[in-house]
Amino acid sequence: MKKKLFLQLVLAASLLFSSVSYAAEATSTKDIPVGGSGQMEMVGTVEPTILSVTMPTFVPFNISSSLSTQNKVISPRISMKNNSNVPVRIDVTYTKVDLSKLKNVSWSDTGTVNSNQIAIGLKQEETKDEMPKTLTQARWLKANQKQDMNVLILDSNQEDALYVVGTMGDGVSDNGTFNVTPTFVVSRTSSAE
Amino acid sequence: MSQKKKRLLTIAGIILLLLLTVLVCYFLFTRKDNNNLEYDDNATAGILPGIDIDERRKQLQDMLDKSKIAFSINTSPVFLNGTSKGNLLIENPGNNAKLLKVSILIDDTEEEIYASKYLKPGTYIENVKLDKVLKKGTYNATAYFSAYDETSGEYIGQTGAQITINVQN
Repeated sequence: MKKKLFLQLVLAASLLFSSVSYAAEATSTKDIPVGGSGQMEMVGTVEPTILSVTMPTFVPFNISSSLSTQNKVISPRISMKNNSNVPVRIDVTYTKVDLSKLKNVSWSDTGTVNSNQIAIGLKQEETKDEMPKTLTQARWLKANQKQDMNVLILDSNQEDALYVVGTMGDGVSDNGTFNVTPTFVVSRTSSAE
Repeated sequence: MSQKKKRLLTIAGIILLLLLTVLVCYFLFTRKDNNNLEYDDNATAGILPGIDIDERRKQLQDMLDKSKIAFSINTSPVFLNGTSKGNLLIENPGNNAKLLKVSILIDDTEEEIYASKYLKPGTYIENVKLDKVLKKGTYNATAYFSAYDETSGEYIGQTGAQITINVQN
């Protein structure tokens, strides 16, 4: 008797749920009237912009008054490559200068030197693998202070190069060393100018 | 093999081992300690007068090329709040052959808000928690990548990347 009652209850419950599911199906397939609108979720994901570059962390150079050119610096080719899909700009934000080993020598921020001054700057490569002979269009490094000096703009996946350039006064001895450490900072830019 | 020959071979072996031990000890104790190198005060860094410019340029180029690093970073990492992790996505690619350390400074205050430990070549950090709690807002910052020699750990130099940090709540 109890068994029969239990079976009847199970049957009744299954019928009830099946009717509910039919009802749900009927409403979900209802036609959308012409000119009306349905709801569809569109999921967008913002991909992060990855900046990827290859650049030097140390720039060695030599300066000598014995060079016959206006530019007195022997510089390596400072190549920089933008491996990103966005254009980037490269700035010098600070230059640490230590002239303590050179007696009575001071720094020039402008490229114009008196007899006891040194000026060092950067210049974009004009001819591949050729050190600049002149100082025209050189950008001069300011000693021990903040500076936002753009030196290069690179389009996506582009490579370009800089050279260290410089000059010194007649009174600066060839027989000494000094340290110039520029900090290159790369940032995203809107387009290659 | 006779008993006599065996004994002779054993004695020869022992002598050989003793000789090897003496040799190893000699090399170990007579080796110069690199930490006690004395540099000549009279030496001048720079070009020896009369040196070929092209040759010097090659040497400088070699030094510069060795200092080069490749790196990647997210230009605008997002942090849900000041204490949560954000997608900084910093990478030291496998072809670098240098150790990298990353330090992030807020441009306006020059406060360091993050400093990584050494990253080996061929490794990356996807998400980081900043060392300082930032309030909701957008911050211009510079990530400085310092390069170190992979074997000696000697500092080589540094370069930077401008980023914008966004803290949402």
